[in-house]
Amino acid sequence: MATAAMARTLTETVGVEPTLQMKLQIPNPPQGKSVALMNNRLRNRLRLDPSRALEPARKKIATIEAQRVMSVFEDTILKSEIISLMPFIVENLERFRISLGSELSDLLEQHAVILSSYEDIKQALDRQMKRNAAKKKPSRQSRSPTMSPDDPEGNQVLDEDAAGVVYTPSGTQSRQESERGTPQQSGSRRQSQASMASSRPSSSQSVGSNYSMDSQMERTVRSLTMVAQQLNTSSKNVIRAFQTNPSAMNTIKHEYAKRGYEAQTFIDYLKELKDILLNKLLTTPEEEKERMDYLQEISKRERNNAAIIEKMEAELKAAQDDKDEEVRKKNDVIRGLQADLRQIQKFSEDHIRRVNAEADKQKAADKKNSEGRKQRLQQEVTQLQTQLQNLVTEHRENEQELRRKKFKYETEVENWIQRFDQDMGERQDEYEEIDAVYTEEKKQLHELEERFKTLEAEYQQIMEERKQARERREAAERELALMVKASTTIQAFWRSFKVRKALKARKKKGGKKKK
Amino acid sequence: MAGADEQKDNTDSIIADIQKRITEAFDMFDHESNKTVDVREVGTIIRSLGCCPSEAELHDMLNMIEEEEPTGYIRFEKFLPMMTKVLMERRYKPVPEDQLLRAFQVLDAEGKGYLSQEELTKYMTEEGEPFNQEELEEMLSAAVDPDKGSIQYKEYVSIMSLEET
Repeated sequence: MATAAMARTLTETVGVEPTLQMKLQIPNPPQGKSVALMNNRLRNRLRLDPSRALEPARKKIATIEAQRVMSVFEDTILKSEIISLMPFIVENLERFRISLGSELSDLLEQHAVILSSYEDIKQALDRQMKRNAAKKKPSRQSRSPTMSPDDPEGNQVLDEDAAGVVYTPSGTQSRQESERGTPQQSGSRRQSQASMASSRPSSSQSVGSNYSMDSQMERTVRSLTMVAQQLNTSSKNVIRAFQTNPSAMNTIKHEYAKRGYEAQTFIDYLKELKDILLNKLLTTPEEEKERMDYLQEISKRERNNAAIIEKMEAELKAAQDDKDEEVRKKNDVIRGLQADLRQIQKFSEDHIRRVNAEADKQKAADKKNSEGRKQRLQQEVTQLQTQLQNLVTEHRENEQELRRKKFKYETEVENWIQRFDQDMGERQDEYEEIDAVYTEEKKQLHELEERFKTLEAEYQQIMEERKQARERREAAERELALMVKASTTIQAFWRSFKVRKALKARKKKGGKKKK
Repeated sequence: MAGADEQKDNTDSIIADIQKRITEAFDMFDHESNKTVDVREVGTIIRSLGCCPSEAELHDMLNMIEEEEPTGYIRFEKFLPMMTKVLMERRYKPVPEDQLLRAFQVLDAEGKGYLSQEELTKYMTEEGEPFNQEELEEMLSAAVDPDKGSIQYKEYVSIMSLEET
């Protein structure tokens, strides 16, 4: 029993642990501090929907200038879309000829011719550039970092100024667009522009050293510029023609998907830019300022929160350390207890083994006993089962017999009942008939009895009379008989008396005579 | 006392006595002495032997002893056994006085103690075995009280009974 007690203490010690864990749970972080700095309107809006706080207050552009800016931008996008499709149209000009009309087709063919010449010139320039580059590699390398994104455009503007063409901002865009609108060439073109841009300063830098080469290149560049201007003009013409021809526009619109990847990306960027521009145009400077204030406020709060979180984390770490310490102590205790437990287990195992051995012995003996008994009982069971079987069979037979009898009797009874019912019915009918007859006859009888009574009275009277008469007659007869008898007696007596008297007289005489 | 033989002897002697009396009576009327008598005499013979049968009884007795073919005569051989038997059995004895008196009283329906001549005549000729005229006159002459002109039957019965013994 010592083992059991040990086990109980063990469970008790283990049972403490959960409470410890409860203590170590991290307290909930403090709720966010109220921000007093926010102005009321903003706070209200924040409360309404924080995600929409930064959206513009209005949906429509109020000022006419802004509207104009927007319309120009949209126009630009439209044009660039058309331009970007140009190479495709030029390639499949035959297919579009009917839908686009003769004027537009002619313009496009012209455009195609200009385009091809531009290609040729550019290739020639490229070759020259390569040769040049092979010679002046170091100088190029040194120059390349100076190229800024604005650079080419600036040069372009210069070039265009030189060409004597007046450009509106939209014009610049469209031109740039036309340049990029040829995806197959755009890469090389840009490269060429870049090289052009770079080549010009370089040319001015190194005029003396490479004159022959530079002059040749300069020629080529000049012709290229001219062709570019022609291309520019042609593009403008095509676009104008398209604008006057809405049906052609519609036809083109279906083919937008045929654009190259770069052109598509470019147009997507443009659309994005349009959204940004719209946003800017919709927002007033005051609102901008407000928004900035709001953002600053937010960031300040964010900073505050970060500081708080840091502090909390430090606390948490301290708490975790405490907990770890405690856990370690507890673990020591547990280890000690486990050692105890192991010892106890060893003892208990011994004990168990001993007990098991004893129990095994006992079990074997019991088993033997029980088997003997079982066998005996089994035999008994078998015997009883056979007995039961016999009895069941017997009883079944009995039952069957009885059932049969019962059934027979039942049918008999039923038959009897039926017959009885029938009989009774018949008898009832008969009885009723007889009863009716009986009643009838009884009535008759009554009547007859009534009559009979009177008759009987009469009869009685008559009988009485008759009886009296008979009695009288009988009496008379009796009397007569008596008289007859009496007379006879007297007569007989008299006759014999007379005879004897006569004889006496004769005897007296005769006697006398005889003697 | 008397033994069986003595009694038998007595009986035999009585029979012999009776037969002797019968023979005497029979012989008295056997006018031709051939042991036969007239049929009309038989009644007288029987009455003489102390019997008083009525006419009907007499007629029965005659039937017994008559021949098969009526001859008008009765033979003694037949008469003797019958008469012996009758006498032995004491049949047809005369009625005693009181009975005779009662018979007269029956006829005297009103119970006045006597019978008129007319009454007696009427009863004796109309009832029973009627008397003939001769018998009636004979009786009337013997029975009628000469003083009263009626039959004092009580006296008359006692006279007759007296005479009979």
